[in-house]
Amino acid sequence: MNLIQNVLQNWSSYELVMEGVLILSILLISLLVIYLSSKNKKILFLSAISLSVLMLVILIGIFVSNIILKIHITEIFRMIPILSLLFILSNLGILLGFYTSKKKTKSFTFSLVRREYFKDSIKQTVFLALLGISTLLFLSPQTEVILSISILSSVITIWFTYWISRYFLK
Amino acid sequence: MKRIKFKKIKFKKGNTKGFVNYLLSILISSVILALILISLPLTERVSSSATYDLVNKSSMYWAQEYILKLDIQDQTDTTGKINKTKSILQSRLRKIGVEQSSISSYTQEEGEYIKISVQTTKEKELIDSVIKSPYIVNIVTRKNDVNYEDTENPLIPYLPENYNPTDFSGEDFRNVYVTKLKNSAGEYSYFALFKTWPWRSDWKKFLEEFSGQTVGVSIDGFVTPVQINAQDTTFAVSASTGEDKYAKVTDILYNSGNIPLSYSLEKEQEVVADIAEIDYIKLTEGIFIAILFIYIYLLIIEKTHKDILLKSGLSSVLTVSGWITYLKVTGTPIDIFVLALEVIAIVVIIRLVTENIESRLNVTILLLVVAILGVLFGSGYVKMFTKDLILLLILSNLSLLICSFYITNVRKSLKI
Repeated sequence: MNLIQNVLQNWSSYELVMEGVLILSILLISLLVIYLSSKNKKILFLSAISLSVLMLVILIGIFVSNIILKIHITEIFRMIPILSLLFILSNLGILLGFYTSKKKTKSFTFSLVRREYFKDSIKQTVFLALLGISTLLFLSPQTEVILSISILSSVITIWFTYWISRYFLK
Repeated sequence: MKRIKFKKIKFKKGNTKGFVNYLLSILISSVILALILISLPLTERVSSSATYDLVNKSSMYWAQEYILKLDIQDQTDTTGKINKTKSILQSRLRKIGVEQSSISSYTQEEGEYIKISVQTTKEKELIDSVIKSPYIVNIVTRKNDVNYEDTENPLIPYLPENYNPTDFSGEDFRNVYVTKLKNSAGEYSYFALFKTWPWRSDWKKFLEEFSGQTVGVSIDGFVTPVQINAQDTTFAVSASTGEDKYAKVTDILYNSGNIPLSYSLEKEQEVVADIAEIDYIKLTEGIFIAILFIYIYLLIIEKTHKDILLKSGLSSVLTVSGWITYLKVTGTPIDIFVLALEVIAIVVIIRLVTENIESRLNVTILLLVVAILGVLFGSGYVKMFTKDLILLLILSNLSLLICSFYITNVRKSLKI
């Protein structure tokens, strides 16, 4: 049965609670770690928006794949949020790492952080795109769809985060 | 007598640190080469002294559909009871480690049914045990007018009609601890120790009242007689098994919750397993070619320093080949598509972390958060993936350290 139909019609309260606890705990504990490392509310809010947008983009991606592209969404597609979270949290981790290493320097400004974040985001986007393309030939269609949705969701979220950072990182 | 004088032998101070580093570099080169060779496909055919086969789970999968008919006697809150039954069954399947499962309920001809679809590599006997048994536990006491020693009717002690019900059921116990204890024959076998809340004085009174006597535990229409020890108030029920896997199933059945509705198996049928099939040979060759292609491209466009490319490329190869070697040598079964996703994720992480070494700790901690929470609250493929991710993160950090050391020493030796 299609995963979306299964979730809407058949999932018991236990399954809904466990899945909700998994995603929420990852989001909340990651934000806690980000705040404890940076001690900066601007980076915390930016990260919170980034992670929320990621979840929304993943949901849209899965629905688009199912309704428009007519791809059968199976239980394996539950890997998409985890993979996407790995890519986004590593991106946010790089931003955090640069900020914590440079914040105490004399010439520190948030525009420096944004510039470095821009360069890192380009490198990550290029690498993810190359990896996605080069794996096309040897992965099964189902695995490739999972990887593509994860990569696309992550790339969209990375650039949305960069765009919105000009309002937060001033 | 003439004294013979020996010349003093003076040792020159040597560069021991350099010599040790040189030896370590040679050792690391051998290890890298060995790991790559073992991890490549078809190397299991190169040597006859040891086989390095990757255990692919694709051939181990089976899929089954179970239809359970619910026995609804009390019409109050039927939806809630069905939902709780589904939740408990799903909890059992998660605990036993089933890869894919779905549970749905429906009404047909005034009867309520639950349909369970399972696709897994676990033993069918174990899955059948967790699905087919409601495992509704009730504590019962012996009737005064029944002869339990009647040799002509040996089944008398095991039939629930020969017992009086009590107020105690599975819901009254916070935990049932399944462990090995010495039985009356002096051998170790599994027992289930019923533990209630500390403030439950009614249970303590019950044990005191029936101290030294035999009561019963009724489970799904079968009673297991239990003698309450006069010396202490432990309540231990024989689990009727000496094997670890069946003891684990008993533990899961006792501790997944108390099913509110009795049910019976209406139908079971085998279905075709839906597996995301990938050719392992094509995958391994593809991954190595992909990593090579990406790094050559990055080298050509000259946007990244060559040192960083070399370090991240070598670390990726070391981590991926180390991981595949570990799976092959330990004979750990793995889904090939999960392996593909693990390798892709770790290659991306290594690349990012090598480029931004000041962020290594932050990135590792954030990803460990995802991995640990995935293991705790995830199920099926998510749990498997995140469990492996923890090992991969440790391996990747070690690979980065080893590669840094290795590249520096090789450069010194070759004077580059």
